[in-house]
Amino acid sequence: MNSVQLSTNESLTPWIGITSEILLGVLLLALVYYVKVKLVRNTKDFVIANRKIGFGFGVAGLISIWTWAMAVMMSAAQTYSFGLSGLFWFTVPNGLAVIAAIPFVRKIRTLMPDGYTIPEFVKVRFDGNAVAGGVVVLGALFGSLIEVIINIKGTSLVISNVFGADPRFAAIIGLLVVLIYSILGGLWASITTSALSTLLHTVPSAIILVAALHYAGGVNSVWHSVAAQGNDLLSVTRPDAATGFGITLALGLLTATIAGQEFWQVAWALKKKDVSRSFFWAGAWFYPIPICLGLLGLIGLGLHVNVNTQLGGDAAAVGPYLISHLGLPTWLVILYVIVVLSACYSVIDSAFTATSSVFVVDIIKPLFPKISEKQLFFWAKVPMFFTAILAAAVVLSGVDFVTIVLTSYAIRTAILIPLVLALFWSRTTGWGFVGGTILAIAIGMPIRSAAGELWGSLSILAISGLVPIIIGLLGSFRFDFERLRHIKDATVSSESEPLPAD
Amino acid sequence: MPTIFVSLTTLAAIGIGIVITFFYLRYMWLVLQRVSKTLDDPDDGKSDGFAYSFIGAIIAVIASSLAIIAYGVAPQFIYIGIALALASPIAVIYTFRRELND
Repeated sequence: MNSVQLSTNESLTPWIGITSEILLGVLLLALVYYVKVKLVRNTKDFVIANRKIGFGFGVAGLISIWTWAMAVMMSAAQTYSFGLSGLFWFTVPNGLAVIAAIPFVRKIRTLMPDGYTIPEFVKVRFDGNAVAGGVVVLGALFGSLIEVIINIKGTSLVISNVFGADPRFAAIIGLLVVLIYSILGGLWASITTSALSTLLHTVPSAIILVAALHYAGGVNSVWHSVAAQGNDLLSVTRPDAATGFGITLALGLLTATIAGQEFWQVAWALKKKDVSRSFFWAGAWFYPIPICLGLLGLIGLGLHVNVNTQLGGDAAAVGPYLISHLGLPTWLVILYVIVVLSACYSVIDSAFTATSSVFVVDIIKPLFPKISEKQLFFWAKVPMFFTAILAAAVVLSGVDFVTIVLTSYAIRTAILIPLVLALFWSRTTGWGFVGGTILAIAIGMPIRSAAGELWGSLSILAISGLVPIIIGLLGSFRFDFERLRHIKDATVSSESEPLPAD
Repeated sequence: MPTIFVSLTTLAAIGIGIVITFFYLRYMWLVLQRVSKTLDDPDDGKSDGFAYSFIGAIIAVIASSLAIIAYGVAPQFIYIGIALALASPIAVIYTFRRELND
């Protein structure tokens, strides 16, 4: 392994990085233009794809929506930090989280066939309880904002690490690119560009890894170098990987799919017959992406890459660092960057669409029930702008990448059990839902700070589950789930009512 | 073989990748065209009848775990991850074909 020299590739200039961002955006924009002309005619097409997403686009879209910058970069980072135990604990719960959503998405689609959003379900489920609705609207918007922030942070990280570009400039360009095509096509744009991105996550990853292994000295050299370091790096049984991040991440991943508007909107947008099989195939065929890209972490271990002196203290940079320092041809480096960028873009456009549907269905429509279709279509695009501006502001302030991910997971974990209870247990009340969520955050977050990720997450889950169960058992409330079937389609407008903006 | 294509193995991966990409884009395009023509068709009313999610989940988890465990068994097994990354878009091509035939 000593013969492998890691050195900077001088041909990787900042403008190549920025141009890659823009060219990928132009490619996706061309696809979205076709989609806009052929498929997007009104608000219903924009926010829920007219419930006409089939098996193919369902699977391809879901794989890419679930492939965050995390799956691309953190699979390598956790392998680099914990060996194969890190890859195991990162990968296995990831795919399982998509498959585990099946009973919930199937249930919601059966109970509420014309639904759009989680807050819409919660409001009907709890008889218009404004506090419950408000908490979930805030949670959904916050969750989507966090997803945009995390993934735009991923964009800036890879562009700055590989090409030496200004991370703030890279983040702004990335946000602008996704904002433009998302505004054109809404959910159809998100699903079709994500389907294309799934191709970009897989075939290029395989080619890049074959080349990277060659430049790293070959599989034998890498493998024996890692094996010689001991520390169970080639075993999946290291307990510190499970306790260090694995269990917390697994819980957070389950929350992200089961309580994530990005997944519920796809569940409502799929053709009814395709819901379960699309989620199953997406979860199963997502697995190869982190399994393949995690190998970069193994190469990092094999080459004795130093986290402090070479990665700036951030293990997430191991993939971009190796790709740009192994001596790979420039076209392969750009291909890797496109893998990461496409992962980031597909999550961001999905999050933009989630904010759009929540804003239209849970804020604008209740305030102006007689709003015209034309006005509603206009307002569907407004929250995308605001989300982009807020995300830009946060990213420009420069917050730690991994901390953002784990904090957002902890907060979302608080909503998981109350939401599941609302879906399956008729005695769950609005105040049980609100009390469970708020108390879990109020008590669980300080425990998380004091006792660590694992105990914090378990406390949040326990409190958020116990409170609604106790309140439900103390009362005599029983919800008739049949009422959910009769909810009117929220984007179908009747008469026109002027808006203040007019 | 210090060429732009890195090595013969890389060249082979590129060749397979090009074939997969061709079929992926072809079927994606065909489905997209079909969706644009059937956008206003009423729902066929079929229910969500997929019944294999539980057993399928177990198989998927076991298979992915075995792939990662295999990395630690011998150097050659490292190529499993690369093969799986090429298999994933083939699976998606199959789903596009199924959608076309539905």
